[in-house]
Amino acid sequence: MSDPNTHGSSTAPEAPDRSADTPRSADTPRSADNQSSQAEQTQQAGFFTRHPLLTFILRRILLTFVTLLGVIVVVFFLIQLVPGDPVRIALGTRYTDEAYQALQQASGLDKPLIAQFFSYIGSALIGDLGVSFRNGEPVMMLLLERLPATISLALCAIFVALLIAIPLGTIAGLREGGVIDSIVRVISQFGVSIPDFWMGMMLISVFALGFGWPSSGYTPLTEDPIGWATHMVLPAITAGVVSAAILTRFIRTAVIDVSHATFVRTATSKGLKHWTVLTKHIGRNALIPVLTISGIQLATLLGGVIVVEVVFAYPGLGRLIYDAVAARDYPLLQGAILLIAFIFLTINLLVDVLYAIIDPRIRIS
Amino acid sequence: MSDIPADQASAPEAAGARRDPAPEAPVLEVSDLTVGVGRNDIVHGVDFAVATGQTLGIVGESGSGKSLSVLSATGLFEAPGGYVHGSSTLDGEQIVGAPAGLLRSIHGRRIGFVFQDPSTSLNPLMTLEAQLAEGPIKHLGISAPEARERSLQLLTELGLPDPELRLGYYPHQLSGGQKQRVMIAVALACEPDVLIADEPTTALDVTTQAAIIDLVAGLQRSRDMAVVWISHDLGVIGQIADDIVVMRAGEIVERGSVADIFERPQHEYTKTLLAARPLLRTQQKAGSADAHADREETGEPLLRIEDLTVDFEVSSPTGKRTITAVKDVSLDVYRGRTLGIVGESGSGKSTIANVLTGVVEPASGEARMSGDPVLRLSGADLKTMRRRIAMVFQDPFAALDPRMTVQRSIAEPLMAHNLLPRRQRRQRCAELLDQVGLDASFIERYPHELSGGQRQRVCIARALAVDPELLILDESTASLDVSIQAQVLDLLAELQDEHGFGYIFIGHDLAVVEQVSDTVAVMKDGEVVEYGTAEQILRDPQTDYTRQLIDAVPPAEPVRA
Amino acid sequence: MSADKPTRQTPDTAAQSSHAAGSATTASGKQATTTDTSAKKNTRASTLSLLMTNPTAVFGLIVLAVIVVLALFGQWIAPYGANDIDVPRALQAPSSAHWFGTDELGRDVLSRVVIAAATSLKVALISVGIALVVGVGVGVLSGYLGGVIDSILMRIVDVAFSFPVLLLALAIVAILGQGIGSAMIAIGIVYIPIFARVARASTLSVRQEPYVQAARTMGVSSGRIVFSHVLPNISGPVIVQTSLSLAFAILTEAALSFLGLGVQPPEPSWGKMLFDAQGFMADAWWMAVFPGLAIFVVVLAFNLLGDGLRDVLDPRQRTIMQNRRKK
Repeated sequence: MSDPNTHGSSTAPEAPDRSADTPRSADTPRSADNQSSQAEQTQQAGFFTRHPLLTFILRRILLTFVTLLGVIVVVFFLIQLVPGDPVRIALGTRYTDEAYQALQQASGLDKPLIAQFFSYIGSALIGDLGVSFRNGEPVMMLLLERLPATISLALCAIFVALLIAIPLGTIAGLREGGVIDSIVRVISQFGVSIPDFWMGMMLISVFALGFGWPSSGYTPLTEDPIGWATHMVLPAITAGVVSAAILTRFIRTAVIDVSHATFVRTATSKGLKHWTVLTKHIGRNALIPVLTISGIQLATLLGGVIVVEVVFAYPGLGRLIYDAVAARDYPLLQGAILLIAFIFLTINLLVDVLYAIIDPRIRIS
Repeated sequence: MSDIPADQASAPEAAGARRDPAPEAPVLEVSDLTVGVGRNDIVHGVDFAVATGQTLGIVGESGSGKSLSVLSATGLFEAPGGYVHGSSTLDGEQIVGAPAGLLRSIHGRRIGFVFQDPSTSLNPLMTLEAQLAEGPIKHLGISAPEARERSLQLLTELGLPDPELRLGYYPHQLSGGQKQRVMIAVALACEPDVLIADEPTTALDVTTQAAIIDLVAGLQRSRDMAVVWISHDLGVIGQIADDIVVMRAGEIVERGSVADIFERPQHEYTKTLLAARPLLRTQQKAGSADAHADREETGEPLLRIEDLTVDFEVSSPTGKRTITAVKDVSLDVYRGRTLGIVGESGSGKSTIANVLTGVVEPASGEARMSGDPVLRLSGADLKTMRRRIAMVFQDPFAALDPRMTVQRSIAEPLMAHNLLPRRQRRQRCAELLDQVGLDASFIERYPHELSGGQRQRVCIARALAVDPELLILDESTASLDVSIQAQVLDLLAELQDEHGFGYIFIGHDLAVVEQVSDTVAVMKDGEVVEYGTAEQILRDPQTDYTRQLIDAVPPAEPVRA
Repeated sequence: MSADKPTRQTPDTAAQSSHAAGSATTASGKQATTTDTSAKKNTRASTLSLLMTNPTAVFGLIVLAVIVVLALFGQWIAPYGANDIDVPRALQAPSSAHWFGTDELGRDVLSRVVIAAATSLKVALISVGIALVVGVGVGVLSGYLGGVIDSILMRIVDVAFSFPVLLLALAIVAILGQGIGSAMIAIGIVYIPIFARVARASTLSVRQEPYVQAARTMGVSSGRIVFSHVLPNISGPVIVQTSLSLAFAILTEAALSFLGLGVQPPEPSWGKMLFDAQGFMADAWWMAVFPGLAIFVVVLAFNLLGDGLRDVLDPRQRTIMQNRRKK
């Protein structure tokens, strides 16, 4: 399933938003000049002005932490919104007084709300996500068991996506308005519009039923690399195609933007080889927005392949979440959401840091 | 942000140093060049030529096709559906229609380019060294250390302070003027035969502009290269060019030597451009010089600003800091008189306007309008003050809501202050349009259907709608072509005579400010460095900075830099 | 004047001014401003006629028109009822009697696909409606007021953005209980942040426009500025986002129904039909192909329309670089 954070079409609104947090001094030369000249008169150089990169990273970490706290609060209140008594709902037909008491105590739901709130935040921050309603096992352990499968799938999918998107997006962007560009645009529209679970089913019926490829399950890479690969191909393509479509559009836009920039004309006016202009001038500058969106895509894949995992009976986090919903295993659902949001935030943080390291406008300000 | 060491802004050479138009063969020769996109010709068959050691100035207002002609002639114009016909030869070699490989061997090696906006002309992710070395390594086949040595020499020659250190810098670490120097170094890195300078000083402050003009003139002499200098500013062209081509709407309307064009212009359009040129009063013929002489300032000021200080908090991804945009400024504006505020970008001149209109809160200081406080108002008081002080913005393209008709735009302040019943608003709009020289047929038009000058007239009409006492004109004519600018300035003067408004005229161009103002305040880095009557400032400037500004105004008679 | 100017703005006769391509002036943002102006020019010219010159958008519009007709009159157009069970005729391949074949209970796949269109559109329209109203409200408020309110609202949006959409929708449905109502609320909630971001970003840039500054200095009240300047001028990006969100809402609804959490039987839905088809992949390909195609075509139509609308209403979005301003 594609995520609206990242679906290709909503790219642009995201970009200005992100850029609001990062300096674009090159685009607003006048104001930049103002500041540099005026700043000299006033401020003494403090720690923060002397270490811009460090300051930037610290601020990002702080911001991420604040967001993470918000995420924990939201996740905590999810269970409070369940109409009726979650423990009773979860027990269903297994209900007995003793079972009820035991489960309520184990999950801490017998304490007053305020105590639950702080103890939830406290334990969440140290990685204790409570116990499963279904079998009483620690949620964290259940999640970590499934995480490697989902991580391999997400990495393979992003690999597939980049493999398709980088050449297509670059060619289309360089030939803006041309025939190839139109074809790529239409193809990417197709890719964004395909329901991923449907594509998974189609792939299964062709390759699994037709050619006998494995259509379900997962083998750890460390045990059987060949088995791992054969189990990975179809789900990775399924999840990767939608991301590829989104990334293609992003890369195209980035390439168009950069190739219209004046400094590319400068590079051309130096009589440089076409390839040099393409790589050193267009490529490196287009890399920055593409890096950002690739990070977001990867994060989205990690948490967004629920349906693909269901279709391929792939034992990852998504499948676990699906089962948790069916079983009304609220602590497990909460834990999974929290873990995925945490991964999402961490990847975004890493991308931002990488971004700052690449872009001298942040590194040296 | 002027980056010119004082000694560099040397006195221009005497006009006599100008070369005689050389009889030698032109290095770049363009004939019957037609450029267009899709089905529309934009440039209709132009001819021009430039010889070694000569500078050809191409002047025209925006949309005249001057940049397009030159970029097409040098093989740098590329657009989907674009076409170039005719001939352009570099030392006999045809450029129009030449294969990409040939163009690449010419670009950078034999023709160097400098573009308008230095802030976007350099790759933000590459060090200056890398950008300077690229061309020579490719064209001259030299090693990286050799290229570095070359770049170092070039930057030293171009007057960039501390070049060794700056080679490792990224573009964002330089000021605008420094970036343009680096851009010139990039263009000259392979010692080209021809330098194309496309509005190279337009985005720069006036004092920086003067320094760049001197620099290029000096480099041209030392290297004996041909220069094609494109500008909208006839004054600038007069300082740099030997021959001038005047373009309008894709055609050349007049050509000749600098002396011919300035002293014996033939075409009406050239005459208009010359007449509309902003000049200092001391440069003009006697008689017009004391047009304002009878306007003594008497009595109570309409607006008195005392010790105004404004601080800004600037937040960046790396933290917050406070900068002082305006520092201890005291100024007076009298009824029916104009206070001019002149300064370069970052001088704090526009901040004063924003404080007076209540958009920015001052840190300290006071301002009174006929005794009533102006600053730190809120609610009904603020609203009343906003009626008494009106503002006209710089960019008429952006100052009108594209989705509103002229009438709705003009009626907006009337509605905000509940001034007239709905039925009478249309009548009032027509009257206001009439006052600014537009007829009532404009009332239902949208901004995109108006020209720049017409839009600015609408903006002025809107400012007049609520009968203000004070008008703030913040660079109000800066984005207009010179011929339009002159008309709008005339209109403003008429309106002042008629209604007795006090004006605050904010500008970066001393010639324009001085022309319309009774008193002038010169601002630099948030402070008023000089304040007095226009006459005093001009005849007897007290600070070096004011003198620099005066020197930066292109003279009435062209003087070769 | 830059070399690429003519590609973006052919010299137009409408603005007889010599300013048509005016960038030979002082300030830095000039180039972008000029492009903006031409963009707005196009907007005014006539959105619809411009949209009509865009073949993909026209295709999208036509498909959507057909879908809307099907959604409104599907009950009468469909040859069979959605739940006409006819076990003896189960799992029949497409034929003249059953164009799309029959499912495991002998129900006509074509009829079910047609009738399900209404449900799908209904869920998408209502949920995007919720997201639009709340999201634009939050975004405009945040962008226009700025300061502490902006910081707080945007932190909340950041939090919401940390959850993948489908996961959040799944969680909300799991809590509210499965069903079409919960699905609509869940999809509505998960798409609020994207509208908030689009509206905020557009509001921030409109707020800096001199015409808004001018209105402020003239004493026009904030409320009036929002309604007469901000909302009309952010409508382009918001309309584009609406079209694209409809596409994704349909996908999300299909996914939820596929997982058994959205539309509940006996009401037919494309997602549920696909789920049921999983067991018959080897024997009855038509059960999976046609509902999936239906989803694909509708989503594609909304996406193409959105893309066309973007070109017409919001060309600035294509050039992110020019748009980047410092806060």
